Amino acid sequence: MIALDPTSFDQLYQRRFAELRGLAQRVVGDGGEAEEVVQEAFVRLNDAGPRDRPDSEQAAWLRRVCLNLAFNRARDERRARERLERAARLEPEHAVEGPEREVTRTEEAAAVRRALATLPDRQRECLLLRHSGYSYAEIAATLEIAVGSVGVLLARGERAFREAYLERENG
Amino acid sequence: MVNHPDEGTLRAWIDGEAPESAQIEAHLGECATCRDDAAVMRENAGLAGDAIRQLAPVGARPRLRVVETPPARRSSSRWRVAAAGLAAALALGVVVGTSDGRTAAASFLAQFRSQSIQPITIDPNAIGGSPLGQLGRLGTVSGDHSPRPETVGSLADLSAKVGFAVRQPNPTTLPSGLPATPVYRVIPAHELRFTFDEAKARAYFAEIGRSNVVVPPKFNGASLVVSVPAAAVLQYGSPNGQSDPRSVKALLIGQSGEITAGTEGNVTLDEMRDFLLGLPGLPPDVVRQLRDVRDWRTTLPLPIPADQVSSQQTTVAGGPGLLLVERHGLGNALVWQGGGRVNGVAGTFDAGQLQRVADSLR
Repeated sequence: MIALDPTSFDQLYQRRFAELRGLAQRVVGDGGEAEEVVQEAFVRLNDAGPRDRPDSEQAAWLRRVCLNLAFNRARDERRARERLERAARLEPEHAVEGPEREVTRTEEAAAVRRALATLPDRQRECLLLRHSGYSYAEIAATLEIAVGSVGVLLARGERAFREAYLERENG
Repeated sequence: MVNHPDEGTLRAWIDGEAPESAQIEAHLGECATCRDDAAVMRENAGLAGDAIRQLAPVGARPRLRVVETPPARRSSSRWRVAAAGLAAALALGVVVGTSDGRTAAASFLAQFRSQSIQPITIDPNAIGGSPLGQLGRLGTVSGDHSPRPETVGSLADLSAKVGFAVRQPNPTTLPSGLPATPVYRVIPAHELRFTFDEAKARAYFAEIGRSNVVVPPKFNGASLVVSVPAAAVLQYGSPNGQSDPRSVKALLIGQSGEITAGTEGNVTLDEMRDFLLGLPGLPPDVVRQLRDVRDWRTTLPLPIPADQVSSQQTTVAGGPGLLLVERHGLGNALVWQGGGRVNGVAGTFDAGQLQRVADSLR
């Protein structure tokens, strides 16, 4: 791949990689898969992304693409099955905390993802972005919505999330 | 009661993201229904936030790139470099604090508390020429920028002065060539205040050819206040009496409480931060780094002059810390936050030696 400006591309990558991986991992669960998502997003940025735009716009674009790629993967059943199998084998890197705790954590994370999956797309994306630390302006730029819409999406999404999440405990 | 804020506005207010926060707060003061709504929203947000955050560790920030600069003639002595590391460890917030609006402090309600540290690379020359370096042109800056340290007789006196139990290193970890007992110094607590003055700012913007900058009227008279608590310094060795700075052996250990910041007047810390970061003529990369700080309400931005010092993440005393390396080999410093304190160890020794001292503090 040929970057327009290799230096600034590299810098963008350095600066954004960790936060994007964190965001993607919240969707796909697996750290390695999250890295693949981020790498794919950067490849796309370089091939067809807004490389001539200011960094903040490129970052918003990257977040958007990462979220889309990550959701696509999360929906992919085959990968989901593989993930479950890996979790069941408790690979050594995961097992350091002790198997019981790891199982609890995996179950807990699955419950959170199930509750998130019940939300409309926009609300779910808003929640993920906000609770990964992004500002309303960054969220609005990522989702291409008005800043003024972020609050209402969050308020509704969080209410719906709470209901879905607590239902699993009661039911 | 009419004019209840809609749910989106209320939700934004909880995050400090509502543009009309003063009106909303006034309304909440009078309207129990909206107060209850806000409390429920806050609970929902807390539950969702806790759940989502556990899905993945917070992404470690990538290491800052080390920009190689040719070794240069520098008048700074070893000591000044070591002291600079310490200044970073203790007073830091101060420079960038007053400059970027993030580390300002409120007298009674701190909207910012330093609980972690993140390096921000800066070019001191670019900062100096920008509005951040000339806040006095936009209003009044008051407070003692670098209060004089005071020497006290013992560790007990030092602890009494700073108001917490000052920790000491294990003497066996001290590099050889240093005296066994340090000189105990207190850097008194101080407060820095920047009060915005619309007329001054307008004159400044006109002068730099930016008379189109619009300043919301509510900023007039609003203040950004940074409180820097008293700091304890253990000083081993002295910079004096050496003709060659490279033969100096000195070590400084600094400990202080959390730096806090907030605003006074009609402006929230968010608004002040946005406003200051939006000033024309700021170095874009600094603005970007500051905007990129996650959890900026608890993260102290540590200004790193990139031409003199490189920084990298490290582990100190079991928690995250920063290693600062002077580019010309004059000294190193470790800075970390732990136990409610900002801590620093700086000296003319290698990183491993400083690390042993830092890890041994009890």
